[in-house]
Amino acid sequence: MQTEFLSALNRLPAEERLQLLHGAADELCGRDGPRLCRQIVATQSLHEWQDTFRMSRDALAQAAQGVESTSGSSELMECVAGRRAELKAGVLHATHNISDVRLSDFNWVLKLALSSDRLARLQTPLLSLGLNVEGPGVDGYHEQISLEMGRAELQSLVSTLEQASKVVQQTK
Amino acid sequence: MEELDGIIIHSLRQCGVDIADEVNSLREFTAELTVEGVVRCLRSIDPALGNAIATTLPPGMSARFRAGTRLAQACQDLGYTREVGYHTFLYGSEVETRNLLMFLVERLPRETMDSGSRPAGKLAVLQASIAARIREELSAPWVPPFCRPLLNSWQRPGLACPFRTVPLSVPGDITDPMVHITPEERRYWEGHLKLAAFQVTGVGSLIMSILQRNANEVATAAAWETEWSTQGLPSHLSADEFRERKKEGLQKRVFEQMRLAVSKANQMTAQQQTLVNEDLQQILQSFGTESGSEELLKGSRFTHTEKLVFQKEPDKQERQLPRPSEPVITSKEEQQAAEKLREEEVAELRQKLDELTMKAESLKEDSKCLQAGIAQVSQEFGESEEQLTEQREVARVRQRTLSLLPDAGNSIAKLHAMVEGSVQRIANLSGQWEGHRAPLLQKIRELRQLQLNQEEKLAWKMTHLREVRDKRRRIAVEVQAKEELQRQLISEYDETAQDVSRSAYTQRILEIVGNIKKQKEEIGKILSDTRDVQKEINGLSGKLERTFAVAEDLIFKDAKTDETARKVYKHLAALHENCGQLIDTIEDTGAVMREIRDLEEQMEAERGREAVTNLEKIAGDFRAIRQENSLLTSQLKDS
Repeated sequence: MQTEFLSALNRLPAEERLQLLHGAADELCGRDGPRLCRQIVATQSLHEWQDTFRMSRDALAQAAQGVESTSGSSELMECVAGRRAELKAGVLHATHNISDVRLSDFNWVLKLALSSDRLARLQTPLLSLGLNVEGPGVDGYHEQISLEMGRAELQSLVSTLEQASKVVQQTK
Repeated sequence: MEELDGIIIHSLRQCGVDIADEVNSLREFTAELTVEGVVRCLRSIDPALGNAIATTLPPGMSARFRAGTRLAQACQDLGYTREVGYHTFLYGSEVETRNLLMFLVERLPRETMDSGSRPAGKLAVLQASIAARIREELSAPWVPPFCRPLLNSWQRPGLACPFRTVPLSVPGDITDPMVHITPEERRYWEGHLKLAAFQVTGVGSLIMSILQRNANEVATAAAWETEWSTQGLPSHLSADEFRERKKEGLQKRVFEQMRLAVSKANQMTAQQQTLVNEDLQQILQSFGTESGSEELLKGSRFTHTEKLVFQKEPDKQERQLPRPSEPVITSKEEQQAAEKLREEEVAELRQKLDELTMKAESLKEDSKCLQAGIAQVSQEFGESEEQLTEQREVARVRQRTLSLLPDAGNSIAKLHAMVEGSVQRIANLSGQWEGHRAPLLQKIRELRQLQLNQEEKLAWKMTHLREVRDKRRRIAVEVQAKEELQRQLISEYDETAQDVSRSAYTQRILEIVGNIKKQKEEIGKILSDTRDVQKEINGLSGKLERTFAVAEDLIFKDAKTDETARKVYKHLAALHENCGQLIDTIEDTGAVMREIRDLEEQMEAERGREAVTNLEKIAGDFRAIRQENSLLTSQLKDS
């Protein structure tokens, strides 16, 4: 695996190796990876490039975890040394998300329902809550759960979440 | 007077009276406006008193009269001493209205005058602003969706974008000499790190990412601060040591949890064994046993995959079963036969696999036993080696003793000598030891004392440090609260800045006071002048009296003898009398002039009260009341 990665990396022109590695590191840290640029496509096929990219990402992740690579390239070492803390945080974040599904993001919108199909004048505040749930892995399972709640329901939800948070605090 | 009117109108507006902007003085007040102002003031001063009275005048004349009477009564209840009645409200003059309103405005509670009674705090301000904003948005008219992009309002759909963030990478502070920067980091920051604006692409938004990063750092610093002050400081450790110890504790804890989870998972798999496919189960179990002790972290990952596989398994089986493996088979029987064959094969293979795994298990057990045996044997070997060396030592000593036996007496004497020498040497050594020991003991004692002192000092310093930290935190909180207050006060000040300014009022009042002082001085001067003139008049009249008396006396003496003298006397008397009359007339004229001036003033006052128009109004109102009364009597008769 390591030799494969090295040979794939060495096939790239020298000035693009570090660029590719930094792009892979960006993706490890949670940002968008590099865009395909024309020079890369000119020197490699799309599949090759994707493979190289994936391999460099894995190699970076291993290096950030402290696994000593015997035949690490100088570019890899340079990249890891330059942004060790950031990479470590990214890898840790991935390790935190070890469970089957997890909450990755949420969004809320407060609405005021003026009327319904039964009542001409309702004036009830409603909260629509969107929960983004993700599975393990980079390209794993994605789902968006949408809830709409009235005041009482929201309060019960908040109190439940507070209890859960208390339990989590206790295990610290 | 204009300024006074301005103050009164401003206060009335604050009480909630709707006064048009062009009304600048009380002369322009209508009866309705006066009544409304008075009622609002009454409500502010005494809600129980004011709420019983309506703010508007009723249409009927008699009802108006009653409302006016009630208002006058309420004002008198509040302690208004001047004359007040229904006519003050219905036909009131400017002066009366001003007096009444001045009295009421002075009685207004301070809270309604200055709006500084709102609850303090950032949260309250925020909530108030939110409420104001929501109220404003609710009062805005609904706009159809296709018109919304044209408006710059909250109804535009583009404003409600989700809060999506990406982690940003930011270079460290190069100017800070405390932070060590490696050359690799420096090269990365200089050559490859993009600007924050270009790090955000796709779903994330720059401002939100920056906000989140900042909030993250603030929260981390706060959490560390509280933890360090509650747990870190009392533990007498440096920050790094404390972090290290916490890390160890957490790792231990994670380790425990993992072990528990693994054992639980293993129990669960044992229970589920009958339910699920067995060979897969065994593979998983082998995973579990392999990773159980050494790589606990990975083990738990395997158990997770295990769970996932269990969930997915049924449908996997379903998927596997109906899939046509050999598309060439056409007839049903052949297919069945082939399937049967395959099933048999599968069963066979499965059996084989079971056997093999069993064998592997047993072999593993055997190897474990053998390893245990090896360990035991090596331990026994070590023990026997030790025994051997001991025995050899004993044997050597015995050999020496045996070699000494033939020459016993000599040997004994030698031995005695040796023993004595040894005793002496021991005594010598002990003497030396004592000599060395005493100073060392002394030193130990001193050092101990020193240590105690230092510990005390340290404890004192720790308490001091804690106090200082507490103080610092308190002061920080105080500063924050004060800044909060300052900001709030500034905003309040900005709000009230448009009102009539206080300093202008005070300046005006001071000017008025100065004017009054000047006028008082002038009045004093005039009074003294008057007194001087009076004195002069008195002196002159006294002189006149005396001169007249002397002249009369002299002439009277001559008058008895001389005819002309008698004539002169008569003329003198007439002159005196006429002059007296003249003076009286002048005095009378002065009095009349004064009276005229008084009357003119009274006339002016009456004219101010607009007696004629008021009289006409009163007459009209009286007619209206009569009409109402006649109407009521006719109604009474009808009914």
